Amino acid sequence: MKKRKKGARGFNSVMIVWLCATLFILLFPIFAIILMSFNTSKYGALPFEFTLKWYKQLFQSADLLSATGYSLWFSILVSTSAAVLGIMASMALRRMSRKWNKAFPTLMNVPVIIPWLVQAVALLLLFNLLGIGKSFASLYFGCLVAVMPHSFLITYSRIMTMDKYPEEAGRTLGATSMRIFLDITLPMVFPAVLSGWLMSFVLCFNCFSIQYYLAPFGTYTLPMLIYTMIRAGYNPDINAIATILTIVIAIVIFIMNKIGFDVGQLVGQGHKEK
Amino acid sequence: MNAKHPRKLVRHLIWPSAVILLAMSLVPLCMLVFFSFADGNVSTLNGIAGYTIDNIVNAVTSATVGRLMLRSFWIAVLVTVICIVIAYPAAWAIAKVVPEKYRSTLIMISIVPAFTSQLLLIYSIMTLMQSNGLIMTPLLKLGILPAGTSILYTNQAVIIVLVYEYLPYMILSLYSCLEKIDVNVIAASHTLGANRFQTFVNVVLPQSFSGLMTGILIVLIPVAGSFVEPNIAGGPYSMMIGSLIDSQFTTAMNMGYGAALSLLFLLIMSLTLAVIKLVMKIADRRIGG
Repeated sequence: MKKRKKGARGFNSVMIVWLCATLFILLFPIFAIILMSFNTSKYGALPFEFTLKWYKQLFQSADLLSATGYSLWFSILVSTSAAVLGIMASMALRRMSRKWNKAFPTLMNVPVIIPWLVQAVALLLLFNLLGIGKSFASLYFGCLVAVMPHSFLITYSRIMTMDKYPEEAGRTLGATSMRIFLDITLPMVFPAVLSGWLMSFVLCFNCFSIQYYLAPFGTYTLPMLIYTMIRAGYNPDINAIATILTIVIAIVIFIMNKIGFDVGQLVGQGHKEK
Repeated sequence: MNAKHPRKLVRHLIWPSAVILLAMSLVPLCMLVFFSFADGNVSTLNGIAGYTIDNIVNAVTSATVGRLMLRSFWIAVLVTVICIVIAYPAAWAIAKVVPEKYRSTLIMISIVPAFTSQLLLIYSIMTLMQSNGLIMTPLLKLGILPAGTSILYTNQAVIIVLVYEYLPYMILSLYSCLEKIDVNVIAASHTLGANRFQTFVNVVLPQSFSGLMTGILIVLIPVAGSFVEPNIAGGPYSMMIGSLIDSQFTTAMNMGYGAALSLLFLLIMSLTLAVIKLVMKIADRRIGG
């Protein structure tokens, strides 16, 4: 008995060491970028000399800043649309037959399984055929259809598993449908909607392939601009914007953690039926 | 609103999502078959110029396409396996070893790289791998590597970048599954005399199959279809099928051929997924049943 316990402790410490090593490797490039954004050398070369000139350049050139701004508000627009659509579809499915409840989530999984490159290519061909081509509408719907399933599947699985009695009670007590939705249903699904929103936001911010194919000429989202910059050569002010973004995201994640948001919800729920 | 059946009216709320899903995803994907017959470009002004079967014939018979398909799926499988090997113990440590109050924090930390933009991540790894970057400089100074070498612009670089990108997703999906395993079941297995390996194979592994499947879907599919990583971090010999498809739309301007390639890629990917699902099912029955 004692021997097993000792063995378990050894095994557990190996696991902890493995975890620390993994996290170190995962986070190392990010820390390196933060360090390099304060380094004088243009190519991230050593030795290290402190400077703030890349931040100055970043705020003067405005290219990266405006692309970041565009990416941010565009992602907020798309993920909010996806969240609203997700709630609507989930509410509707609750009142629909079992056949629909089986078919619709399965169909919703199609855009999840299709690689974004293929999805983007197919959409571009369709828009070209229709004579629309690359435009804001193409970009919006392209990104929306790519992220909508994630938002929907998270909200849907929450709505289907949640307790129905509070709503029934509200109805018995004479509340209107709207009142029940706003006061009972929405607060109950809100954590799921929030996870779905966050997931769509991240995915939309990152869906480079779709943006690359469908964004109108002259419009640059942040990933598109970085892609062009990397292909053209190294621009150290990318380090600066990466640092700022990483810190902002770390703060957001920290706050969400504090208010009790469970990031484990993001994955797994959506793929339940598999 | 019809006061009599407000609860039935709720059903119509499904239309917006249904229409977008149909018009923006299902229909365009089915139309890839149609576009595969387009001769040359599909332009905004003229639509389709003519029809030909050459695209499909070329895509199926070309040796280059076959080689790229094979390499893409090989890289995808390799990256997925590396991710699983690294992520499994890490996810286990977060889910079962670490005290409960630190779990969500650790998961949050591991997801930070995935939440920063994908291209920023690629860029940061590439800076590290440069010959005068943070990693290569000490290796070169110590004489471990001959001067002037860089791992950048090789196949290995592409694989490293891809593993970095998708590892957080694998950790997340394995964690959300491992977390649900009851510790008492593992303890029971030990009490009944199973050793660590037997417990893992018979108790833990079968219960984590769903997480593995999610992880494989999240990692394998996008990796197989990636074109950004080989384009930026790879060299002339690290092209993947995604790069070839992409080039038909951006440089070669032969959209019909691009559509045929995408279609072929989708077919092979569906087959691969079916095989993986089958293997998982058999494994599940063999071990879990």
